Amino acid sequence: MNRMTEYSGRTTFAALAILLVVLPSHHTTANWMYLGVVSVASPLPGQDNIDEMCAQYPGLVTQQLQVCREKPHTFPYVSEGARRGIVECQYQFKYERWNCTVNARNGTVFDYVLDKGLRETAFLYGVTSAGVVHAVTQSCSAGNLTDCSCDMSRQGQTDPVEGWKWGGCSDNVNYGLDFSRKFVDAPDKIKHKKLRDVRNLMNLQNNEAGRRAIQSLVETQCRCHGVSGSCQMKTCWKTIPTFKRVGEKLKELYEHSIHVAPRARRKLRRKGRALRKVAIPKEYMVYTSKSPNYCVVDLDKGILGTSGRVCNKTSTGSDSCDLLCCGRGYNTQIVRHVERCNCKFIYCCYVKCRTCETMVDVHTCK
Amino acid sequence: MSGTVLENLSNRKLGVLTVSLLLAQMVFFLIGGLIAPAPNNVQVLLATKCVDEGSSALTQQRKWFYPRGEGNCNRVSTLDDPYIIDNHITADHIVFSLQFPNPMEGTREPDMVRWFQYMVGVMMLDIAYQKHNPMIEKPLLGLDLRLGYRDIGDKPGDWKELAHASETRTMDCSLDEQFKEDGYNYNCSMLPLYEYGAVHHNFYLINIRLPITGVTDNKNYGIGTLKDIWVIVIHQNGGFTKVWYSTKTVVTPILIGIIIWFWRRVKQLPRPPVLLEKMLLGLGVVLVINNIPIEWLTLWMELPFMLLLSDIKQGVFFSLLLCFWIIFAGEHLMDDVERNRLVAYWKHLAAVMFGCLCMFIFDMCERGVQLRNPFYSIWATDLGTNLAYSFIIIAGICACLYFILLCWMVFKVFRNITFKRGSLPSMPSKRRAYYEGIIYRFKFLMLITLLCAALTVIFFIVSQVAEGHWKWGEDLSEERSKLEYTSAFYVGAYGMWNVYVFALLCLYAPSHKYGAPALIVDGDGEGEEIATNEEIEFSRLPSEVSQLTAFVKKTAAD
Repeated sequence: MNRMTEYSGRTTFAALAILLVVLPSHHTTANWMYLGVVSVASPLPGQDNIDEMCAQYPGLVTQQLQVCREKPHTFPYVSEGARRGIVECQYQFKYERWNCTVNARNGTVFDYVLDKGLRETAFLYGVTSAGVVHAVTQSCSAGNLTDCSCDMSRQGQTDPVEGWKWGGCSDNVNYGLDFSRKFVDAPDKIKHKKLRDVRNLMNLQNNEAGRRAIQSLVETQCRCHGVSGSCQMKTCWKTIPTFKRVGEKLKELYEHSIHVAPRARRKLRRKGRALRKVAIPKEYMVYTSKSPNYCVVDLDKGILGTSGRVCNKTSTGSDSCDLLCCGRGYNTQIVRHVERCNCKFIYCCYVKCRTCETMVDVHTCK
Repeated sequence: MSGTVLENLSNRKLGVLTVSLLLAQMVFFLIGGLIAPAPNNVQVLLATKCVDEGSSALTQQRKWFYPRGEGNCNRVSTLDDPYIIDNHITADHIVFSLQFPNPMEGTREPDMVRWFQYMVGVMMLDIAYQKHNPMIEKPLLGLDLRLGYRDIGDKPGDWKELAHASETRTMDCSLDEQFKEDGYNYNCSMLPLYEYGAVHHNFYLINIRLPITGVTDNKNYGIGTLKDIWVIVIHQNGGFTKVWYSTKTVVTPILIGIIIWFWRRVKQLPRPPVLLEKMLLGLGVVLVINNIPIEWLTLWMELPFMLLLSDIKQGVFFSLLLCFWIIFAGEHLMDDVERNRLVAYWKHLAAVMFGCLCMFIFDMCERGVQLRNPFYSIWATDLGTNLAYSFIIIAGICACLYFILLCWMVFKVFRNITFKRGSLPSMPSKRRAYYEGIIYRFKFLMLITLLCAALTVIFFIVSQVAEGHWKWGEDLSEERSKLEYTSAFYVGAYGMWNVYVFALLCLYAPSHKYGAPALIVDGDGEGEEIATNEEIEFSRLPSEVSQLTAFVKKTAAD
């Protein structure tokens, strides 16, 4: 059955809605990732209660509050970065037993998962740290930030603008990386000084892994513009990857993450006697505890279980009904699926489509 | 062209000259590598999506949309913002706006300065893959482009138009099968946006529209889901411009001085100047024209033709250099043909001239047209691309032809040299000195020319590698070395050809040392004292040569 209908463009890309689930929660510490699930606005011109504005976000350490006070216009992009990270996490874990469900309360987002040193924890730290690099770099390029710094080390000039006129600037990716190092790493650096806890070392390692993932995907592009357009002159610049690529790379790192000994204090060590001396590369993710299987509901730990999740009967991967349903079996329903087809597209705003309806089997875990 | 300075210079003096020229070359290289910054700077800009709220978008062309400053545009963060649907905004109403330079850390807003000299804009589109919105094969983009400027002291919204054009670009995108999933972007090749030969104002603004009404050929249809537009603006660095022009300013009077000295020596001779001397003068004059730093004028005036002019100047210098090599080899052939006239070299010169003409036409088609419309690109249309390629290929064929002819000539010279060598001991001392002089002069030029050419190629490769392989290191702060290779290449290569011409003018000027005994060094480096008491009369030489060749041939036959 085909009908000519006109759709508005928004529906072409259904944004991944962040699942907000309210669950009973035990005591957890607040975390800056919370910024990714609340709306953070840039202060209005002339607004003078910046201190007040910054104080309303729980879980920020002194250095982070300082960033909020000194660079209030950058702050919405930190929030945007965290949000990007969380959305990407939900995309990458769409077919896993743990699907990155957000449990936003008391200034935290993933209370159980963030508390334990699991592989999932490692992924979350990596992806949000990378998200901040991505969002800050992009807003620098868009001219939205007023204080993207310029690497002046080579020019020997004190005034950044004069230095820029003399010898140009390093690119915005560096600024994003520096910013993420300062902001995202601050809480764990402080805590590690005080407590010497392996968890802080683990978080720092995973933050860095996220940043390195973005770095490794940065591409250099060049353009020739010499005499008559020849390659006598060639200028190169760096482009940041789409965040989807970064998420994919991090998912790969998640799968190859390294189990570290839970009792190290100063330096991370691999678990097990045999591999203790093998160094841990900076681009790898690490975890201290084994993950639960996430099969059964455990509301105390914020685990929702997989009951009711849609699974794929023909797949052999993590979304297969066998794996996702933890062997409990599944229900099958026949659902009418409405899809757009034979569309005539314009790059923006409006789309002319037909709708095609098909009947599909939907399997859900018992 | 007998009795040049080169032959009559003592070993010691020649050594001193060589060392000082090498030192000058080192100085050029170090100025480029240590003082000058990288030649170019890049601004990577992400377009802000402004919404044109006007009732009829296409009649609103006169309005500027800018993201920053008082009266800035109404923006949306993404093209699937609900605001667009709620307000019935169409693709016609979306203006991609880029205002540069972007703000940066510091007390005041950065601005563009005239030292930046030129701007090259490149456009990159972020197009997301969507299963139900695939991109068609090689879709056409119909762009409505405007470039505006504003100066310090102007009101925030007071943008003035520099250029306005409707342009078509063909997109070339691909996506691996494994990434054909919603959310991944196509890999699209970058598109030329504009080239402008002056940076005369402080702030610039680009407004890009991709209209869908009133466009032909299905432009802007089937281009997939456009997410963002990036524009990369390349301009020369202020510091590089300063170092470069200062170098030129210092070199020019030195070169003028040596040309005057050279020509006075030629004029003092009792005979009229020979072709080779005229060629040397021409080479010097063209290099001086190249060197005269008329670019200083750009600090006061907006002169967008400077890019084209410098292309032409460089082209004329190098074509003259090519002609010089041919004529130099021809005049040292030591056969019985009377040359000394340009006509004798018509085959070789025609190859050079025709090749240069092709490059000139190509340059006029690209940069010449860009004087009228900076958004124009010859590569944008199929016809233009074919035309451009055919000019470049013809020029390439001419270059190959030239090098074959040159190599053949050089080969003939070397054959004659070995031929002459055998008969040298049996010659009278005067004639022997004459031939030894020719052989020495030729070998010397061959040596320094090959050295210069090889160094240019090496510099070029090093700078290309340094620029292209600019990768992320383990430690970010150590990634950039102290020496700026690219600048060292430009200033070094520039200095080298100046030093080359300088050395030619010095060493190939006629010598005045006829009375005194002089040390002549032959090709193998042995010194031999010969009294050159009288000058060999130039006009009589060919007949002598022919007699000699006949003699040599006879002895060879025996």
